[in-house]
Amino acid sequence: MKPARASFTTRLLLVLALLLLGYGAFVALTARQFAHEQAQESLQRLSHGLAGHIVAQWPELTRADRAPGDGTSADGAARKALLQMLMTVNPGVQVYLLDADGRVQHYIGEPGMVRQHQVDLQAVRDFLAGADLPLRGTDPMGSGVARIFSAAMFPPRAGDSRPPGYLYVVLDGAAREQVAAQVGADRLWQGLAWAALAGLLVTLALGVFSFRRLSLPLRHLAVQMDGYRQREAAAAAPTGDEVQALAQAFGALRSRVEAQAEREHRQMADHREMMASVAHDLRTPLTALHGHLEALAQGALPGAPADAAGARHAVMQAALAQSRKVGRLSQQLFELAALQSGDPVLQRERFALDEVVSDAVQKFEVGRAEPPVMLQGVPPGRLELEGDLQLIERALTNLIDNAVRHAPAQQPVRVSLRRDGALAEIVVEDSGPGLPGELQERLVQGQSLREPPIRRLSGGIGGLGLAIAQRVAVLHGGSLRPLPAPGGGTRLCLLLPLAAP
Amino acid sequence: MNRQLLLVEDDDAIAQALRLHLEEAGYRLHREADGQHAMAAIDRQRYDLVLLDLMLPGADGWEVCRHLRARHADVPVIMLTARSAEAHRVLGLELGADDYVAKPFSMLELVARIRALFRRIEQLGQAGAAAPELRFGPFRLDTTRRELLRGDEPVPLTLREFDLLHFLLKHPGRPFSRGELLQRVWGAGFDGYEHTVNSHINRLRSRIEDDPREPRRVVTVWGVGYRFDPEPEAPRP
Repeated sequence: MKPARASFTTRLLLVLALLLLGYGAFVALTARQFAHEQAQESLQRLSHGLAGHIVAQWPELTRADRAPGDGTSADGAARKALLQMLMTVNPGVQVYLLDADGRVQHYIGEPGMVRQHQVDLQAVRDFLAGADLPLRGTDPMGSGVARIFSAAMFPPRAGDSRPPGYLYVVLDGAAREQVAAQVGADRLWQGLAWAALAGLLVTLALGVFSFRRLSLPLRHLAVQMDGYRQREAAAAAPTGDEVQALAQAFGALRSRVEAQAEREHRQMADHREMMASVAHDLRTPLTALHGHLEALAQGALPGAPADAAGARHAVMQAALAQSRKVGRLSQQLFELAALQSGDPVLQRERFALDEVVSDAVQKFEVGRAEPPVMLQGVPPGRLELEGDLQLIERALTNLIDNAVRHAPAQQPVRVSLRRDGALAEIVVEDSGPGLPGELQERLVQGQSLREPPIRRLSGGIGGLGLAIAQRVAVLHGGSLRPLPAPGGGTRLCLLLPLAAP
Repeated sequence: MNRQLLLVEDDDAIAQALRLHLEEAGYRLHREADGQHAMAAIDRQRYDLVLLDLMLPGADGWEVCRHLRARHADVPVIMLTARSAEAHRVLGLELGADDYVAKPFSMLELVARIRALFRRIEQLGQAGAAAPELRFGPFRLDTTRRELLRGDEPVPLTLREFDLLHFLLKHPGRPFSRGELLQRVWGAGFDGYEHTVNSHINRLRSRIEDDPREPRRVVTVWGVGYRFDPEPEAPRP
């Protein structure tokens, strides 16, 4: 079973969805960061004067500096109550009293809550100098995170340029952050998720619609390519989506076109060679024919004038022989061209092959003395073939004719027919010089005698008659092969499948 | 008798060569170079024989042949074709052509075939008068009406199948080679044409044999030819 593959549109939509999700997440995180910054700035701006106000309202706070470590004094108790009150009114803040060096002197909370006793005074001084907000300073609770704050300097004592200490109020303390995180995160993420989901769905819906429209030509092309592939059954089934399939189809197409171009190039070369050979073969007898006719026309006849009639007859016979040669050649070329066309039409009929073989042999017995053609072997009985009678006769005639033309006089050409299972085996043997090397080689290998054409040393084409016989055999599902001839000569075997009983 | 022939051939050189040979042989020749004019000539006059090229300007040979058959069914036609592959169509008697020659052909052979054709027509007239009916097995060959009957049922036969059967019936028990049959029934035998005898024998067997795959009336003698046995032995079980 063919594994299901996601279409190009589906993959495109999937990628789009992922990109959208990523983009949404990026925008959400950035927006969150900006919102946080803005909230902090607002808070710090709003509470900018908080510490100053407290110091102005409750100057007794500053007295702590004058009795350090005296937590049990009346002032200490009052200060503690004040700090307590401040943190009750606004639980989000944490209030610290710092000494002149920025060390935490007093705070409200669990003992040990302060882990960072040294506060960065530079941030405090910047704050007091009116630097741009938000401005972050040390978190004495040791969270490691810089926090927005409000700060005020205690009024310096007379004659002392150093301030006695600072009131340091962390505006977004841990408590505030915890609550903000709980409430804010849930809301923020929920809202964000809904917005992202809705946006994603809308974009996907629009994407499906527009992508399908946009990729319609692509899909049509892919369908056409697939149809072409299935018709041709040439390329392997494509893997991947339409675009990958198109790329594969294009690759296959390019290979085919290149192979075809190469094949055509080779065929053109064969064709040119064939034409040159045909021209040569036709020119030779035509030149002779023309010469004989010229001799007749001009009365230039050999011998004494008394023999004129005999000489004219001899010249005419020679001319006729050349003319027959041209005729036979053109007939063979014509037949071969018809047989080699892409789809030669066979006029099939069921006939007795034994009769045709016997008749073909008899055709050569009549009127031709040397070399004799004879049937050999026992009568094979009735052997029926389903094929083109004319073509089979042509193949047989060509084989016998070939043997007759090459066999020495008096040495008979023998033809035999026998049944070999579902095949008829016709063997034509002569005691001539044997087949030329290339012809023999190609027949042994079962290669075509025509593509590429065999050139004779004389320049003409060779083996036309055998090429026709071979083609006829192949068209009937048979073959033409040479058999070993230990005693010399040629033994050609035509194998043809018999008709089903 | 000075017979009148119609030659339909567009090539002047071939037409001229044919005129030389045919007039030399004692025939009168009228030549047309295109199909339309040929049909007009056929409408004007009845010819004794028509020589017809297949590839013609105006209307092709098939059309001219159909036209001729519609007017004069019995005028013999010899087709001149450039393609031997077309011979099957010609000889399949689709259009009732009596013979064909494939280019390049020998003019002398063509003249011989024309003579044979006329001779056969004459012989048929005489033979019909001499022995009007020949019998074998359940069959009856009526030579006057040119008909084969099995009982009272007519068996369809083409002109040439009839001639072949008629010849075999007149010479029972004697084997003939394919070349002899070609000479005596067809009137002439030429290279590339002989297989037509095999085709006709095949078709004839399908008409008169009980089992054409095991012929008992028209039998083969290996290496010799064909023989007609009017009273075949009963098939062995």
